[in-house]
Amino acid sequence: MSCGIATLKKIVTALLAAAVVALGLIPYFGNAGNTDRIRLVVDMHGYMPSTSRTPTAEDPEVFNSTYYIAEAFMDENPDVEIVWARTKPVGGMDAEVAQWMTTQIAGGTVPAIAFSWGTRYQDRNWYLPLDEYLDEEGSWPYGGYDTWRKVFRDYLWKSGATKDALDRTVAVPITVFPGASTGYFYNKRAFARAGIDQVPVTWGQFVTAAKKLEENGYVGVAPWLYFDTTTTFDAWVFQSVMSPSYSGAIFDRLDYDGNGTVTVAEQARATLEGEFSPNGVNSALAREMYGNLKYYYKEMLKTGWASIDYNSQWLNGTVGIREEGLWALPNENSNVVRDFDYGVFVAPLVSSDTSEYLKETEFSDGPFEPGADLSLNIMKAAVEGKPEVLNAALRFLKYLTKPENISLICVENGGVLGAVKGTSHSNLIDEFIKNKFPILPKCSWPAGFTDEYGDRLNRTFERWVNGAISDEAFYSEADSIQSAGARSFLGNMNIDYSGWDIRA
Amino acid sequence: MKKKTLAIIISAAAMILLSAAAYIVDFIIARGYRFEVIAASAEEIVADGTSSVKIRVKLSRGGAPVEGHTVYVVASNGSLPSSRLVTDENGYITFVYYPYLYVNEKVSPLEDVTFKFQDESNSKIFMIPATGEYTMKAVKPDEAGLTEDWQGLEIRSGEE
Repeated sequence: MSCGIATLKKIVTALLAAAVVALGLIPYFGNAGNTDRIRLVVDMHGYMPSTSRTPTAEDPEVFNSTYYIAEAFMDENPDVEIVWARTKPVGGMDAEVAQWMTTQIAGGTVPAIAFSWGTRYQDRNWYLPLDEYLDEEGSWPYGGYDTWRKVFRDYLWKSGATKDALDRTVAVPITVFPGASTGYFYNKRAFARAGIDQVPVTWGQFVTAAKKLEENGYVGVAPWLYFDTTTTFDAWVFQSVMSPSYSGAIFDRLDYDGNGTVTVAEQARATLEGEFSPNGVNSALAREMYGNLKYYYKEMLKTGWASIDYNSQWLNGTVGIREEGLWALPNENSNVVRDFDYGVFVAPLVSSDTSEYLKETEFSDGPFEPGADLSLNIMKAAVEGKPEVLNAALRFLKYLTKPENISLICVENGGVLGAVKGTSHSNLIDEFIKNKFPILPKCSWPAGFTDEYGDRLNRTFERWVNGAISDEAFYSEADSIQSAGARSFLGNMNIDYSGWDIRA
Repeated sequence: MKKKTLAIIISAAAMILLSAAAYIVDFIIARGYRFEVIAASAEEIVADGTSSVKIRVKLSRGGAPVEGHTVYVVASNGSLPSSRLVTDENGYITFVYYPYLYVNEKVSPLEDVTFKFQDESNSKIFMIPATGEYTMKAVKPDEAGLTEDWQGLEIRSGEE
């Protein structure tokens, strides 16, 4: 009897295992019987269509535009079947997505079209260069332009988010941020009570406002809910505030070819030549940059900030300023628990009121060349040796980038603008994009260059903030990590740097 | 032993009956509420993705306005800047609706928009919300209508 039960258990376990495996393979073999169609696996990250088409009170979050666009494409291209990459960890951070991509490539199931923050994994040689397809005469089949590249807003092709360090275009932008990707939500009542009569437009004003809020019993500034101590260095304050401010101050020294944009290769060269070093030619500037970032974490945030529930404190009105993504606007507007009005301001740059090395911030009316939000790559591993898949991928990408289709996506998403010319956007962001935005330089401060060295830099920075290492030890370690990261990156990209004036 | 079993059965049956009674009470309470659209800034929705419609809805019970209830609004298509609102002393909620974009029948079929309202405050036991809905006719945008994109370019909406 016990033997029979054991056998039954084994059979049931085997059946369950088989069912799990079969379910996992559905996206890849869902239509195995229809062998004459080209299976195009597509990952559009947060823009993949929802599984439900109709919003309900229980399940209100639906996203339909990419579903209808794909259906219409397949109607016009009956030889192609689009399959969505549903197993992608869409909410995952950098390392998790890299792991998923690595697994998919190893298993031969990587999407032909995928999202990975533009050029983030360029040193892994995953992306297919797209210049020949973008620049071919007559490559835009829908009229109005003679090449596919001209359909897009021109400035995007100078960006490091579309071009790799070898100056090859490896990403096609679909949507761009509405001037900024993140900002600061602030409690208007708290500002009034603390005597803050205008929103900060410089980092100096931001620090002063946070101090006033603290003096009046409020939490001066609360970091984004999902940041923790594993992402201390390369978080939004570094990316949106410190990096553009301080790299912009030495822009002319970084832009070796003088074309107005500092590429990753130029950034790596500048790193090896000591431009970013706390012990190099710009040591005072570099030390100030790292010092300001440390001040934010050590002095402006509460001790143990990563484990504090700032959300409930925001709701009960005790947070003055909250770091948040602009995608949270609709949710915040629907918040009926909060009993105070809130506003939003763009992350302010460090300016001449804080540093003798920096100039006054310049502002534009409306978004100034905002960066790509959704940009898509064609993954080499999915198309190499498969010209029919590459052809299908290019056809779908071109169809997707028709202005009316991009408009559809932008209007439904609500919080983004179109990366191609002549697109409309949602009323949800109409007021926000009428703001003044800081004009950001086309350069950035390095953050380790590769995942490995980025992680090392983060850990070292955290130890410095926590007082585990001295200032001098941090400067020395940060310098070594940035240089090693630059060398690793250049090696991965096969960039010859023997002729550069590298420091000993 | 038998008495204990009987006691358990009676307790379980009592719990089920009590739950059923509470459910019925909640259900009856929910049925007593009424949503009514009392004003809209347009008679029909232009599916241009850029215009807006303001809608005022009244929540009442037995003809009397219901104040302080949280109402959740869902639109079958398009966007709501704010989807959760609290009724005022007149029982009103007022919300803005941004239409979806009609491009052509293939990628964005023209369909009327249904707003569903759900009272999140009327029920405390089984969360049976009072509900209501209202459908507005959607029309294609004027093909001659021009809008501007964010870089100041003129674009057409509603082109086939």
